Amino acid sequence: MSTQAVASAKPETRGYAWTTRDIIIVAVLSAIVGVANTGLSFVFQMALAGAGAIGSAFFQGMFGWGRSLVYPLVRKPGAILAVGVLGTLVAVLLGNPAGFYTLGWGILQGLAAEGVLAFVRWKKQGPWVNFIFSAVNAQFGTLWTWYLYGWSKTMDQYWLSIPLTLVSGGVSAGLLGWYLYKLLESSGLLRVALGRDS
Amino acid sequence: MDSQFLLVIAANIAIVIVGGLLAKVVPGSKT
Repeated sequence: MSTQAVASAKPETRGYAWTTRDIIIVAVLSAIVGVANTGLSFVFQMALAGAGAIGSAFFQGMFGWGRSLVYPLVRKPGAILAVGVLGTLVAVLLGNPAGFYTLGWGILQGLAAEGVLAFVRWKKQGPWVNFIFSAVNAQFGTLWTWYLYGWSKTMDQYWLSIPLTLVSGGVSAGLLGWYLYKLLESSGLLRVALGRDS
Repeated sequence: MDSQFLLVIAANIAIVIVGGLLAKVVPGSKT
Protein backbone atom coordinates (compact mmCIF):
# COMPACT_ATOMS: atom_id res chain seq x y z
CA MET A 1 0.00 0.00 0.00
CA SER A 2 1.44 3.35 -0.96
CA THR A 3 2.05 6.16 1.49
CA GLN A 4 -0.47 8.25 -0.41
CA ALA A 5 -3.17 5.62 0.03
CA VAL A 6 -2.50 5.43 3.76
CA ALA A 7 -2.73 9.18 4.15
CA SER A 8 -5.59 9.86 1.76
CA ALA A 9 -8.27 10.00 4.45
CA LYS A 10 -6.33 12.89 5.91
CA PRO A 11 -5.57 16.29 4.36
CA GLU A 12 -2.81 16.05 1.73
CA THR A 13 -0.85 19.12 2.77
CA ARG A 14 -0.56 21.07 5.96
CA GLY A 15 -0.59 24.39 4.12
CA TYR A 16 -3.72 26.45 3.69
CA ALA A 17 -3.98 26.06 -0.11
CA TRP A 18 -6.89 23.95 -1.24
CA THR A 19 -6.24 20.84 -3.34
CA THR A 20 -8.59 19.24 -5.87
CA ARG A 21 -9.30 16.59 -3.23
CA ASP A 22 -10.48 19.26 -0.78
CA ILE A 23 -12.77 20.87 -3.37
CA ILE A 24 -14.33 17.51 -4.28
CA ILE A 25 -14.97 16.64 -0.63
CA VAL A 26 -16.56 20.06 0.07
CA ALA A 27 -18.72 19.94 -3.08
CA VAL A 28 -20.02 16.40 -2.52
CA LEU A 29 -20.60 16.92 1.18
CA SER A 30 -22.41 20.23 0.59
CA ALA A 31 -24.86 18.53 -1.78
CA ILE A 32 -25.55 15.73 0.73
CA VAL A 33 -25.88 18.24 3.59
CA GLY A 34 -28.34 20.35 1.57
CA VAL A 35 -30.62 17.39 0.92
CA ALA A 36 -30.47 15.95 4.46
CA ASN A 37 -30.89 19.31 6.18
CA THR A 38 -33.91 20.22 4.06
CA GLY A 39 -35.65 17.20 5.59
CA LEU A 40 -34.44 18.19 9.07
CA SER A 41 -35.65 21.75 8.59
CA PHE A 42 -39.29 20.65 8.64
CA VAL A 43 -38.77 19.08 12.10
CA PHE A 44 -36.92 22.24 13.20
CA GLN A 45 -39.70 24.53 11.99
CA MET A 46 -42.28 22.47 13.88
CA ALA A 47 -40.22 22.66 17.10
CA LEU A 48 -39.72 26.37 16.58
CA ALA A 49 -43.42 27.02 16.07
CA GLY A 50 -44.39 24.83 19.02
CA ALA A 51 -41.82 25.75 21.65
CA GLY A 52 -39.86 28.80 20.46
CA ALA A 53 -36.22 29.17 21.44
CA ILE A 54 -36.22 26.21 23.83
CA GLY A 55 -37.81 23.90 21.27
CA SER A 56 -35.45 24.90 18.51
CA ALA A 57 -32.40 24.50 20.78
CA PHE A 58 -32.72 20.72 20.69
CA PHE A 59 -32.80 20.61 16.91
CA GLN A 60 -30.48 23.51 16.02
CA GLY A 61 -27.37 21.45 16.61
CA MET A 62 -28.25 18.69 14.16
CA PHE A 63 -27.80 20.95 11.14
CA GLY A 64 -24.07 21.15 11.84
CA TRP A 65 -23.18 17.49 11.23
CA GLY A 66 -21.76 18.18 7.76
CA ARG A 67 -19.58 21.05 9.00
CA SER A 68 -18.37 18.80 11.79
CA LEU A 69 -17.52 16.05 9.29
CA VAL A 70 -15.69 18.26 6.79
CA TYR A 71 -13.24 19.71 9.30
CA PRO A 72 -11.22 16.56 10.05
CA LEU A 73 -11.27 15.71 6.33
CA VAL A 74 -9.98 19.06 5.03
CA ARG A 75 -8.71 21.12 8.01
CA LYS A 76 -8.21 24.33 6.06
CA PRO A 77 -9.69 27.80 6.47
CA GLY A 78 -12.96 28.19 4.62
CA ALA A 79 -13.96 24.50 4.36
CA ILE A 80 -16.63 24.74 7.06
CA LEU A 81 -17.87 28.08 5.75
CA ALA A 82 -18.02 26.66 2.22
CA VAL A 83 -20.09 23.66 3.36
CA GLY A 84 -22.29 26.05 5.35
CA VAL A 85 -22.97 28.34 2.39
CA LEU A 86 -23.18 25.70 -0.34
CA GLY A 87 -25.20 23.32 1.86
CA THR A 88 -27.78 25.98 2.67
CA LEU A 89 -27.84 27.10 -0.99
CA VAL A 90 -28.78 23.55 -1.99
CA ALA A 91 -31.42 23.59 0.77
CA VAL A 92 -32.85 26.84 -0.63
CA LEU A 93 -33.09 25.35 -4.10
CA LEU A 94 -34.78 22.24 -2.69
CA GLY A 95 -37.50 24.32 -1.06
CA ASN A 96 -36.41 24.92 2.52
CA PRO A 97 -39.35 26.58 4.34
CA ALA A 98 -37.21 29.63 5.21
CA GLY A 99 -36.35 30.32 1.57
CA PHE A 100 -33.28 32.46 0.84
CA TYR A 101 -33.06 33.41 4.53
CA THR A 102 -31.66 29.88 4.99
CA LEU A 103 -28.34 31.23 3.69
CA GLY A 104 -28.07 33.36 6.85
CA TRP A 105 -27.68 30.22 8.96
CA GLY A 106 -24.97 28.84 6.68
CA ILE A 107 -22.96 32.05 6.63
CA LEU A 108 -23.22 32.92 10.33
CA GLN A 109 -22.65 29.39 11.59
CA GLY A 110 -19.76 28.85 9.21
CA LEU A 111 -18.09 32.10 10.29
CA ALA A 112 -18.52 31.21 13.98
CA ALA A 113 -16.97 27.75 13.58
CA GLU A 114 -14.09 29.21 11.53
CA GLY A 115 -13.60 31.79 14.28
CA VAL A 116 -13.15 29.04 16.88
CA LEU A 117 -10.75 27.07 14.65
CA ALA A 118 -8.65 30.17 13.96
CA PHE A 119 -7.47 29.82 17.58
CA VAL A 120 -5.90 26.45 16.72
CA ARG A 121 -4.96 27.56 13.17
CA TRP A 122 -7.13 24.81 11.65
CA LYS A 123 -4.57 22.17 12.70
CA LYS A 124 -5.76 20.55 15.90
CA GLN A 125 -8.40 17.86 15.71
CA GLY A 126 -10.19 15.41 17.95
CA PRO A 127 -13.68 14.77 19.29
CA TRP A 128 -13.42 17.63 21.81
CA VAL A 129 -12.39 20.12 19.13
CA ASN A 130 -15.35 18.98 17.04
CA PHE A 131 -17.63 19.26 20.07
CA ILE A 132 -16.56 22.85 20.76
CA PHE A 133 -16.74 24.34 17.29
CA SER A 134 -20.03 22.54 16.62
CA ALA A 135 -21.48 23.90 19.87
CA VAL A 136 -20.53 27.46 18.86
CA ASN A 137 -21.73 26.76 15.33
CA ALA A 138 -25.17 25.78 16.68
CA GLN A 139 -25.31 28.80 18.95
CA PHE A 140 -24.76 31.14 16.01
CA GLY A 141 -27.66 29.41 14.32
CA THR A 142 -29.89 30.70 17.09
CA LEU A 143 -28.45 34.18 16.57
CA TRP A 144 -29.86 34.17 13.02
CA THR A 145 -33.11 32.59 14.20
CA TRP A 146 -33.35 35.28 16.90
CA TYR A 147 -33.03 37.98 14.26
CA LEU A 148 -35.19 36.29 11.64
CA TYR A 149 -38.12 35.29 13.84
CA GLY A 150 -38.09 38.30 16.16
CA TRP A 151 -37.25 36.66 19.46
CA SER A 152 -36.48 40.01 21.10
CA LYS A 153 -39.82 39.77 22.94
CA THR A 154 -38.87 36.46 24.57
CA MET A 155 -35.36 37.17 25.84
CA ASP A 156 -35.67 34.97 28.93
CA GLN A 157 -36.25 31.99 26.69
CA TYR A 158 -33.33 32.99 24.47
CA TRP A 159 -30.82 33.14 27.34
CA LEU A 160 -32.14 29.82 28.67
CA SER A 161 -31.76 28.24 25.25
CA ILE A 162 -28.01 28.99 25.03
CA PRO A 163 -26.69 26.11 27.20
CA LEU A 164 -29.17 23.72 25.59
CA THR A 165 -28.06 24.78 22.13
CA LEU A 166 -24.37 24.40 23.00
CA VAL A 167 -24.87 20.85 24.29
CA SER A 168 -27.17 19.96 21.39
CA GLY A 169 -24.64 21.27 18.86
CA GLY A 170 -21.70 19.61 20.56
CA VAL A 171 -23.34 16.20 20.71
CA SER A 172 -25.66 15.97 17.69
CA ALA A 173 -23.26 17.69 15.28
CA GLY A 174 -19.79 17.61 16.83
CA LEU A 175 -19.59 14.06 18.10
CA LEU A 176 -21.78 12.67 15.30
CA GLY A 177 -19.53 14.32 12.68
CA TRP A 178 -16.44 12.89 14.39
CA TYR A 179 -18.01 9.42 14.45
CA LEU A 180 -18.86 9.68 10.74
CA TYR A 181 -15.27 10.78 10.03
CA LYS A 182 -13.91 7.74 11.86
CA LEU A 183 -16.30 5.48 9.96
CA LEU A 184 -15.19 6.97 6.63
CA GLU A 185 -11.54 6.71 7.58
CA SER A 186 -11.78 3.07 8.56
CA SER A 187 -14.02 2.06 5.65
CA GLY A 188 -11.61 3.27 2.96
CA LEU A 189 -14.61 4.80 1.17
CA LEU A 190 -12.80 8.09 0.65
CA ARG A 191 -9.83 6.38 -0.95
CA VAL A 192 -12.13 4.66 -3.42
CA ALA A 193 -14.28 7.74 -4.07
CA LEU A 194 -11.25 9.90 -4.77
CA GLY A 195 -9.62 7.32 -7.02
CA ARG A 196 -6.63 6.70 -4.78
CA ASP A 197 -7.10 3.02 -4.10
CA SER A 198 -4.08 1.90 -6.09
CA MET B 1 -29.35 49.47 17.12
CA ASP B 2 -30.86 48.87 20.52
CA SER B 3 -28.91 47.72 23.55
CA GLN B 4 -30.60 44.31 23.60
CA PHE B 5 -29.37 43.55 20.09
CA LEU B 6 -25.83 44.63 20.99
CA LEU B 7 -25.94 42.49 24.14
CA VAL B 8 -26.94 39.41 22.14
CA ILE B 9 -24.17 40.05 19.57
CA ALA B 10 -21.61 40.60 22.36
CA ALA B 11 -22.68 37.40 24.16
CA ASN B 12 -22.34 35.37 20.98
CA ILE B 13 -18.92 36.82 20.13
CA ALA B 14 -17.82 35.99 23.69
CA ILE B 15 -18.97 32.41 23.09
CA VAL B 16 -16.70 32.21 20.01
CA ILE B 17 -13.71 33.51 22.00
CA VAL B 18 -14.31 31.15 24.91
CA GLY B 19 -14.79 28.30 22.44
CA GLY B 20 -11.52 29.13 20.69
CA LEU B 21 -9.61 29.25 23.97
CA LEU B 22 -11.16 25.96 25.06
CA ALA B 23 -10.23 24.39 21.71
CA LYS B 24 -6.60 25.26 22.46
CA VAL B 25 -6.57 23.40 25.77
CA VAL B 26 -8.71 20.29 25.14
CA PRO B 27 -7.01 17.05 24.10
CA GLY B 28 -6.44 16.67 20.36
CA SER B 29 -3.84 15.84 17.74
CA LYS B 30 -2.15 18.05 15.14
CA THR B 31 -1.17 15.26 12.77
